[in-house]
Amino acid sequence: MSLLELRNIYKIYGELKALDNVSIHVDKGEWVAIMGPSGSGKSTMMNIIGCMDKPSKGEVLLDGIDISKESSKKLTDIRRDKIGLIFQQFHMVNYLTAVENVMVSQYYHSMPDEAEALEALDRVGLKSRAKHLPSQLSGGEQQRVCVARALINHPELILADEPTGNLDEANENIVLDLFAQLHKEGTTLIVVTHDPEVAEAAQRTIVLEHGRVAREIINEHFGEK
Amino acid sequence: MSNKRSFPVFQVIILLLSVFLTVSVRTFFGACVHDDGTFSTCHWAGEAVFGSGIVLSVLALLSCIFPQSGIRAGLALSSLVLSLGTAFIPGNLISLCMMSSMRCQSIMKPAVMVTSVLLAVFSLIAFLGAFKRLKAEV
Amino acid sequence: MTPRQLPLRNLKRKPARTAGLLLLVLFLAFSLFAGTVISMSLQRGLGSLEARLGADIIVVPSSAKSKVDLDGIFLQGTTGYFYMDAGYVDKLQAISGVEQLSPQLFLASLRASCCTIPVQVIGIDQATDFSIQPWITKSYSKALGDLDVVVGCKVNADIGESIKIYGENCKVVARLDATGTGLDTAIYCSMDSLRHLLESARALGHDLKISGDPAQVISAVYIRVGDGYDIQKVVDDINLHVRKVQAVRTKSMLTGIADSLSGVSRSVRLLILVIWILCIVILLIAFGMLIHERKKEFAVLRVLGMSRAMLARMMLSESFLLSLMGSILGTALAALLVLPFSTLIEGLLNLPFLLPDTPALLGIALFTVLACLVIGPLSSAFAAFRLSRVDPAAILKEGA
Repeated sequence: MSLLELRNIYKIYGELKALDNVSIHVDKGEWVAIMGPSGSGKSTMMNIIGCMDKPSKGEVLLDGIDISKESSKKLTDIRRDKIGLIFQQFHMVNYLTAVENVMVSQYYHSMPDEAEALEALDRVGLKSRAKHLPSQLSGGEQQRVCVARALINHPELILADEPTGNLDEANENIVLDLFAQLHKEGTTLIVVTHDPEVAEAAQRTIVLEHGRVAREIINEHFGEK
Repeated sequence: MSNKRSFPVFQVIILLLSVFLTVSVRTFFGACVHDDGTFSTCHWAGEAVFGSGIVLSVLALLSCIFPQSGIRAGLALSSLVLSLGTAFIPGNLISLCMMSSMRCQSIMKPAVMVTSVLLAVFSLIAFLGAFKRLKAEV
Repeated sequence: MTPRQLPLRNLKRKPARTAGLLLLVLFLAFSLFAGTVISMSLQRGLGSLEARLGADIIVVPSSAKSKVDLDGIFLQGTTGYFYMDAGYVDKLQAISGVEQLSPQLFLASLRASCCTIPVQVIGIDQATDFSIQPWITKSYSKALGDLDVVVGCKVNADIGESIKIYGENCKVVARLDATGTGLDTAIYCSMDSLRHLLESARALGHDLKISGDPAQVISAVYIRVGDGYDIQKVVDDINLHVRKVQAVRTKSMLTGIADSLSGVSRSVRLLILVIWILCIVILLIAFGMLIHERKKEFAVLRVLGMSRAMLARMMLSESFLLSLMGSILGTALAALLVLPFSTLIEGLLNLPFLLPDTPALLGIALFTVLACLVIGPLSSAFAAFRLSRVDPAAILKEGA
């Protein structure tokens, strides 16, 4: 059953076609990587899937709803309810502690619950650093807080934009292990990356070039690592 | 969370205010001066404030030197009480000159009052801060 | 922690920025409160001076004008004395238009002990007085006995205490309400008491330059002109028909004060205006610069599910909190400086100065806080609006 379907998507900035007739679909529970060099349209696609941007043409079906037609207020609601976002630059609220960053996300979704937020931090191995400010955390720790923040509301889709782009190898492995766990629990994962190693962790890789889907690679060794 | 050995902001403010009180009451905020060499009671009110200003300054200096929360809480409490007492010296405990327009009434008394009240406020803040830390340490 | 606490949390975690903005609001509140209190006190001072003077014309010996500063004696409470024969009262009574008149007798006390300074002692004719008596009645309703004195509010003698004037013990029976004028520094007694004091002074060897019978002198005559008469014409008549006296119209004494007062008042108001414009401009710039600095933070919150309205509300709450704290601190600080030092301000301005009463002061304080609560959030509103419009994706995308 498909969770996300893009049908003939175009995103046009003046002369530039950032996305040029792209169609993909992602099943529920699937772990998909989107790869491509810079300028291939990865980020544009990520913004459209993440309800932060709308396509110029085409349909985007998320859980059966066509989000390309919704108002921006509605998009905020959909993003909040269905999607957990992870960014390359972490994007923590810098005056809030780790646990508070997680709780902010809870609040906009439902009700803040410190115990639950601490549990989420425990999952990413950071319970002991819950009261630290972002400035007191390493890059890897910050990204793990962001993973906790993304999964706190049990989203159907976790959308990660270059999640390991600013991390060393040790932290990259921790984050990928977390993704693997989430995948096992049935969460759908879309990871945008230009790193082949990160893409190899996924079940399937969609390669974008010049705004088009160049090819799709099924990872036959998935789960062996 | 925050650095425990941080700069003692309030202690330093209290020290500055205490020194200011001590110096000003003998100089630019001083009591009336009579050219015939006699002293009015307002002069002695000024001297009393000067004395308690010295004590306040020493208390503040000590609390800048000792980082222990317990000592700081105690010192802040004493300077709170003493500064409130000082506010009452000119005019209430020791009477001043006859006319409100005279120097001791129009300058010294309000200056001592304002400085003492500020001192009391900052002492209270310093006490609450030290007390909170003391409780956290126990 | 709930996002309701986000504004407060943000203010706490950025102490330098918060302190800067707080200081601006503090200036706003300080200038508004202090300026309003000062300018109101000046207005009240003038009003009470007019009310206290109560006479249309004051007549003094013509020699007085060259000897002493009349404005100083009648308006500012400087000491001075001059004498003329009591017989002038009858002559003045004969002038048409004079409805009420009452003589007064002046004496300047000497510095008697360590804490006294020369004070103007004014003897009033209790049978005819219309200018001081109504005011004394407010604090003391009985007639003034021999050597009973009533002191102005700035004379620090308590009721029941004795003041020594030329060796005589004068009993303080009442203290007057503040007028904010030089009248506050004088001592009042009956005409008989003052003649008694005059005698004592002469007995102590002070030459008061009295010509004629010391028991029959007066210093000035206060005149009230009847309705329908032109005050200026009465003044001219007196100066023309009564020899050796000088009639002065009180209004002309007051105009000098009123002029400099409106000048000071205008400068104070101008100063408030300048400070406000400056602070508002700086606030606008400061909040505007914050847009850039905090773009990312807000984008994150938006991505996490904060709506535009919530974001705008959060920014407005931040500036509201800032304004609340800043205005209360500023008002408190202004009150702490202006109220105790009011006597000093009066001395420096050399103008009648009467602080508004407590309810009025509380009103001004409330008005100040409210004005800041409107201005602060308003100057952040534009920034808040622009920020809430910003596309979160556009910001987070940068560098991705």
